[in-house]
Amino acid sequence: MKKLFTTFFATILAMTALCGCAGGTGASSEAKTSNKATYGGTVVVGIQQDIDGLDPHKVTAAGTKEILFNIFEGLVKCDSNGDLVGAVAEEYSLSDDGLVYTFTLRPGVKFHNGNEVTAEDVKYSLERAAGLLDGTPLVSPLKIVTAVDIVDEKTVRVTADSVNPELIYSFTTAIIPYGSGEDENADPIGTGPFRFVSYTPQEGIVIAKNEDYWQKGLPYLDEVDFKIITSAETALVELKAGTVQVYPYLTDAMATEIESSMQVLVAPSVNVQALFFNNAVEPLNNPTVRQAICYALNREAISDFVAGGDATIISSAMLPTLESYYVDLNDTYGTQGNVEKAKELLAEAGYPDGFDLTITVPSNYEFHMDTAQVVVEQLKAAGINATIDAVEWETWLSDVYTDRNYQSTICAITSDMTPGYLLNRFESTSKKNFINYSNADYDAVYANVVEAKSLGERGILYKELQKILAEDAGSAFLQVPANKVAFSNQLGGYKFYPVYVQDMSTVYYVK
Amino acid sequence: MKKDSTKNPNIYLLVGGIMCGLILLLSIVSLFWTPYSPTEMSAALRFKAPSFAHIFGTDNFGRDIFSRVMKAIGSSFVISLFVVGISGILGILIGSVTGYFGGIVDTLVMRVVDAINGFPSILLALVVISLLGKGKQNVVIALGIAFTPSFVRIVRGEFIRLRDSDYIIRARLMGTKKIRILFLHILPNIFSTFWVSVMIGFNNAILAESGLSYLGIGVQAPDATLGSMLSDAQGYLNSSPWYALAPGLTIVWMVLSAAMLSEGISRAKK
Amino acid sequence: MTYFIKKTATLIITLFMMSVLVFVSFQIIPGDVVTAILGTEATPEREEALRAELGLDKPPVERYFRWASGVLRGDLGESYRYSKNMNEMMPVAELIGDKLPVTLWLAFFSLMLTILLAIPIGVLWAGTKNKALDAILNVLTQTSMAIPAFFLGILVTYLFGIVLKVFTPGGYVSYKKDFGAFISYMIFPAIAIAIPKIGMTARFLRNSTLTELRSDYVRTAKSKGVDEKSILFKHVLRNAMLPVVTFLGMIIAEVVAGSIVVEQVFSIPGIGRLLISSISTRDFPVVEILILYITMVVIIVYFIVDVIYRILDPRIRVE
Repeated sequence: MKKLFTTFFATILAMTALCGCAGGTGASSEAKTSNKATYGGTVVVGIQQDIDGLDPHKVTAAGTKEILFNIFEGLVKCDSNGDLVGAVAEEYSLSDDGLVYTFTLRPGVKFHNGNEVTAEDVKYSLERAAGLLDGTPLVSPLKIVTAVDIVDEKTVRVTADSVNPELIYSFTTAIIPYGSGEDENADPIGTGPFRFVSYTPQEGIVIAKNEDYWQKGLPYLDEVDFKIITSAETALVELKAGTVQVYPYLTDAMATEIESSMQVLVAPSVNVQALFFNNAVEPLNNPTVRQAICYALNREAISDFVAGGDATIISSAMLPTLESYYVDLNDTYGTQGNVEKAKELLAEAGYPDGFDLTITVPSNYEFHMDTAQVVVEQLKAAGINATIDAVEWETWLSDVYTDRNYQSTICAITSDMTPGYLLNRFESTSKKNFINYSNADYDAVYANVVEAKSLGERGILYKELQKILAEDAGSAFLQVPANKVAFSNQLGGYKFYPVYVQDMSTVYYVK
Repeated sequence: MKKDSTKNPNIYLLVGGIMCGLILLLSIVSLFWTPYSPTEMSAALRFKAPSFAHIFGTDNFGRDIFSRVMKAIGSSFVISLFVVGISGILGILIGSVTGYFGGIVDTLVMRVVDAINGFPSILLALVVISLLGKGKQNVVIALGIAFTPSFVRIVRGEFIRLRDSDYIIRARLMGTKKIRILFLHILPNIFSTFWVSVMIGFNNAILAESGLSYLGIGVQAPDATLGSMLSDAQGYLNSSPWYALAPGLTIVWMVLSAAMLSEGISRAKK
Repeated sequence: MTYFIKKTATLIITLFMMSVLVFVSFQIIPGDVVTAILGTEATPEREEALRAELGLDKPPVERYFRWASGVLRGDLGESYRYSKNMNEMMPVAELIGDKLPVTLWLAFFSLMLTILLAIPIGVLWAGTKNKALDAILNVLTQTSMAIPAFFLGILVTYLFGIVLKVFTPGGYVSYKKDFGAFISYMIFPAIAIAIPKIGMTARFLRNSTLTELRSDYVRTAKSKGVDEKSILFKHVLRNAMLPVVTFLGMIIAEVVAGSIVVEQVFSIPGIGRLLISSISTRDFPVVEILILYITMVVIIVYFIVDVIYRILDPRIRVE
């Protein structure tokens, strides 16, 4: 048994994300000053929970993966725009039938132990993650991989048994030295810009510069110290004292408090927050009722109350930062609420006097609790009598997510890198379809997605899916909250990604 | 001391009575009317310091804190009443039977009572609520269970003291039914002692309920409770201290008034 | 001696009942620790593997006896959630051993504060003939008893942390790192816990002193013309302190309970925070041992109080 974390993120419902990538631009933020970047120095980054392991194929917590991004690399990795770029592999090609991937390895890439990466290492890493070694797949999408063959010492061929244009995103899976699998947890060795130094439970993890990193000029820092700080008050104290220089996922109240003493960088997060409906229960199985709720919600006001107005308002399940796949549907219900229209629809659906609605909320997420309070108040204006049922996160997981025994819930899904991640769960038979969404049109379009051979084709279909989901009001999508990062005035070069990572390789001290 | 008891009890009784009366009045009024809606939000009114329009100020959602405190007093009052009611009645039933009859049942019951008593009541409630889920009724049940043992002890003690007193022995000799003896002969005589422990229990119930909702496991948002208001307010202590002071001082007021009243009652008896 | 055996038997039975109760509770509480650990995206194969690793695939009764026999052999089990290093989970004994000193120090500081302040106040109060002082002390102690610990914590944070800036809220320092800094932080939560106890103890001491003052031997001494001060300090206080000692014993149990809430307010990583977070993360091995531990401490303290009481007051032995 390896190890675990004690608390999830303060504000998000963390579902897994490797590093995520997709077409579209991620916001990147350079320090305001144009001061010169310098090499060297140590930075302390505050993190909110303990890590759940160091084996890159086995960890599941998003909060761990965003740190391991600095230690490990796959054949490909994503850049801050969300595009896939070569990492351990220099380039790849895909066969015409979409089943065979051929990767050419980049020359001179070295592991932290000094050995050069070989085709054997790549074969071993992919086979381990795909479950070809012992039958236990560790990275779900790689299940369709049937063989990994070494063509020559610089070329590896991967064969899948079905077409999935999004499979390429799974080749961000970490490449580790041949046979090192079971040792990775204690002594992780990868090819990333930083190497592992030490880990102390409940205190943190220290990484240091990889002098042999293949990208010349990176990283700037000599050492990065990820320090676990579980309470907001403690984080504020340390930030003000300067003992912590970087702290992501600030709450609104914390951001206001710290603004005067350091930079607060803001960019959209990768979390899609919604009032999710259980589409299988009365009266939410009636689309008219669901639409009425969507009309009743004033999402701009919600963002003002809970996110300081910094959230991005959305109406369907896609991150606006994934530009090639996102379609703006905010006109469907408007963003300021329309109580008259909501009442009209409720009357039409046979609920002229409204109805009782229970909203189950994981109580450890203050952000969701606050949102729920605003939602209850807004629904009241439309005659819907909503009540909050606050439950512990573990109860939420089993009652809402696994057993689907609830009426509605407010939470957020943390997007993966794959564009279909947020949409594939609403196909009626999906195991992850915790809202019991069932729509024949949606399923039909989704069947085409599976058939589609290119990402371009899929993109068009994904936009169609978002539209169906929004118009049918599968759930009331609310916002993509902002990720606010406290960042020392002496630092520069922080980059936001449209995926869940803390890339420290580009961070530097300014002169 | 005798002189005291003719002169002083009125002060406790009077002050306690007035303080308690105000609480009672506010909680009854809150059932029908509050100055503002306790849940209505307004972005424009966030974090307003106390003023004539909002005498306790407004909170992070722009809600009127005084209206929320009023509602919270009401629910705290009702919950504590139920807790004391349930544990008091259970205490009388269990305590009277075990105290009067004694024997093996008494020994067994007292073991259980000791076990529960030996456990911090807030922890016990924490475990019970993890089991039953959150919400008002479950808070009442959890605290009801936690508070019963102390009542059992008091009632049992009084019954043991009185069961061998002359008038009860006489009643027994006259062949009075046991139920009659228990509830018509002994019970009325323990009320003076019992009443004081009811007031103390009421105090503790208010404190325990606010403690639970402070830890986030009591009454659920957006319903206002003094404890949950305090825990929300803690994050804004630096910028909006009034937010924490209003519910905090209200708890102190409630507990103090009940304490004064019980002190007054016990002095008046002497 | 039979008394001692009887009490020990009670302790064991209570602990056994408690352990079963907690175990059964964890069977009923919703929430599966495996999904909680792995999140929603793990493959079913991994979930099965973890379930087997934690022994959760066995029937409940078997699991209980396995756990209980471990405890009897002195093996308190391992946490589901906290790791020692990447390949081993944290043994519960070690985890609690790490957090326990924090809570114990907190309890110790609060108790010291209580004793140091309550006794002089109580004595002064009992001895005073000044009506105004009597009234002031009456109101002060009454009020201090009415303030819940967590609100006191907030008040202390506001007054000392934000207004006076004598300490930094949230700036907890581990006792292992810097004991001086640890004390200068812990003194403030200790104040929050101590204030109501000071009120209680002072009132109690005052009442027991007044009771003693009215007793026959004092009247006799007075009539013999013994100086009133020397009566108070030589005889009365010695007798009046006896019930106070036992009263303080009971307060220890309450201080432990109070620290649970106050640890939340001051974000102190002690037993209380560990317990609350372990209940919510369904870390059964930790919760079970913690609850047994607290129960045991409370029962033993009550037991010691009882013994002292018997030694001090021979009349009770009759029962």
